[in-house]
Amino acid sequence: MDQEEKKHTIFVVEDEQALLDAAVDKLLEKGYQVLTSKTAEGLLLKLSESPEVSLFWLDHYLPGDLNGIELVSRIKKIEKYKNTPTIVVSNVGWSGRVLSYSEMGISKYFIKANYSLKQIIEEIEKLLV
Amino acid sequence: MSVKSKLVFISLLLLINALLLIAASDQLRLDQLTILAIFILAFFLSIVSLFLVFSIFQPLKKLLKGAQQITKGKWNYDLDIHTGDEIEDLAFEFKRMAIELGSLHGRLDQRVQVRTQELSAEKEVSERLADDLKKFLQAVETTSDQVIIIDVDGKIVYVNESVSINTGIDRLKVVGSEPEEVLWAEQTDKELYKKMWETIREKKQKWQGEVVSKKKDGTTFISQLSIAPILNIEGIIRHFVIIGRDVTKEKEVDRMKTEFVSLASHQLRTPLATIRWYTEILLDHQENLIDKQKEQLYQIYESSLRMIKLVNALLNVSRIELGTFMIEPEDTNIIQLLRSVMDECKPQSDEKQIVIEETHADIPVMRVDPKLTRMIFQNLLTNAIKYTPEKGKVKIDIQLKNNKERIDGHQLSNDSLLISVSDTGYGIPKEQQDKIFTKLFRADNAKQVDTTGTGLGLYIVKSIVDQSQGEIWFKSEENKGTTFFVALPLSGMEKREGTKSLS
Repeated sequence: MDQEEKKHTIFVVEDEQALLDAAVDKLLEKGYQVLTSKTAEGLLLKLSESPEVSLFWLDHYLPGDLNGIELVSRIKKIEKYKNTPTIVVSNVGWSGRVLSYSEMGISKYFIKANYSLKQIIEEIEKLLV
Repeated sequence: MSVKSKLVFISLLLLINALLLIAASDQLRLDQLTILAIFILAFFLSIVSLFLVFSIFQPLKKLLKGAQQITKGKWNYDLDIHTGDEIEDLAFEFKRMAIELGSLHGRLDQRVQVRTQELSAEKEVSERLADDLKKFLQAVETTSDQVIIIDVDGKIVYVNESVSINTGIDRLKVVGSEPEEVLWAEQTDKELYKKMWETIREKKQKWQGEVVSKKKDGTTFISQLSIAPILNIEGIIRHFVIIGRDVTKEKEVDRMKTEFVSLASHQLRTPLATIRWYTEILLDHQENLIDKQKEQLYQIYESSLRMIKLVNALLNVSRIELGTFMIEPEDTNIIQLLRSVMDECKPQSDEKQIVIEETHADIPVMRVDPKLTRMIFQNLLTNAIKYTPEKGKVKIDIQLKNNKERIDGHQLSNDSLLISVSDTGYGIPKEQQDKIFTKLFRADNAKQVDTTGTGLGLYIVKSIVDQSQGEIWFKSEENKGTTFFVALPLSGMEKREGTKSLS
């Protein structure tokens, strides 16, 4: 991984503290800059004052009024994030939902338990090339 | 002396007597002494004839008395006639006749007795039958299950009270109608009726299934039916007996249980992901660990993977049972799909030095759900590898087969894509073969060689194959190997809307 790539900022939204910590540790270790929030609203608030995000890592079920799908539609409305790669890492994998996400331009849908962090980060690396 | 001689003799004596008496009269003028002699002689002759007459009548009297005794039933009565003449002969014959009559009478008596016994036994049986019939009728009338009897034309001839209680429909009014019209609702699939009639009328076999039943007020409920054709001795159908039960509540409870499993499994995924990811991070930094700790950590990691697999399988089962899994057919290159599954399985087969041989005919692109087809391949192939000892052989063959073609004793119901996966493995014990597609079932020998299986794989495969109108069967011999056959209709899988896919 060269110096350029390490500057990528990844925004992780995950309400489960332990999972959030694990993801952050691994991403930092890989040299990414990481922003986090436990809620959709938290992300939207932080987004205006944060450095440019290269990739969004979102959970589907989130506390608060917005779920992952609604959050994605909000992000896509922001001009500079219209085409930013976004992955959903959730613990449900229903086809209908995966379809709605892919229709919204989601890059990849992961069922948390079925993937190792390594596999997810490999996908992220591919998306950020 | 014979009776005849006696009679002649008597006549002769009487004639001499008469002559003597004439001689003794005045005409011959005999002296007194001669007359006296004549009288004495005549007297003597009379005595003799009287004796002779008695000797005839005495036995006749005895005979008469004997006849009276015999009439009273003394078949062995002793006539005591020893006259040495025809009367003795007559008495002898008479006695013989009496004895014969006696034995005849005895036999007749015996027959009457036997018949009387038979009649009373018959009466007992018919009483018992009537009693049994009453009991059966009471049982059928009062059972909470619905009992319906229909004739060969499918018309109702009897329904029990439970039908009226459950549906509010007057049971007398449905007699003569077809249950499809009056008891079962339109929501029931017509194909189901077709299959049902085919099974009970043509194959003369029992049929079990579920239909939507209707009530008088228009509401519906789910009935689980068991229909049996009743045959006479010649094997001709007399009528059909239907036993039905309202299973709406059971189904609801079952659904709730399945939903609970589904929900619980989803909840389990988060902690499982946590365990998996943290063990992964620890294993990334194993240079700080001693060997034993590395080994222990690896065990945790493996177990978490196993649990994740189990949760995924449980979720698939719940989707199958809730009927919520979707079938999304698309043009699929079967051989390509198979090869990618084979690639995935390579690490396992290499580890056990198992050779996988693949052969196939020229297979056209098929409209099947690639995810579901992949699951069929994955399960059959991983099972074959898992349950075959080291250096064994696994063979996969894919062919096109015609409808009605027989494969290993099994007749196909469609033009089919036939997938067969055979191995030289442990096999399935004969006595457990009928349970092999049962949910959570694992054969004893499989449990011994591999403790990590879930017992859900073949259940899932069978459900997918069934839902795709396909067929699955196998042959297996313990310690020789197993061959699984899957036939998918060449026409492809039919699309099914659903909310969830199997994963």
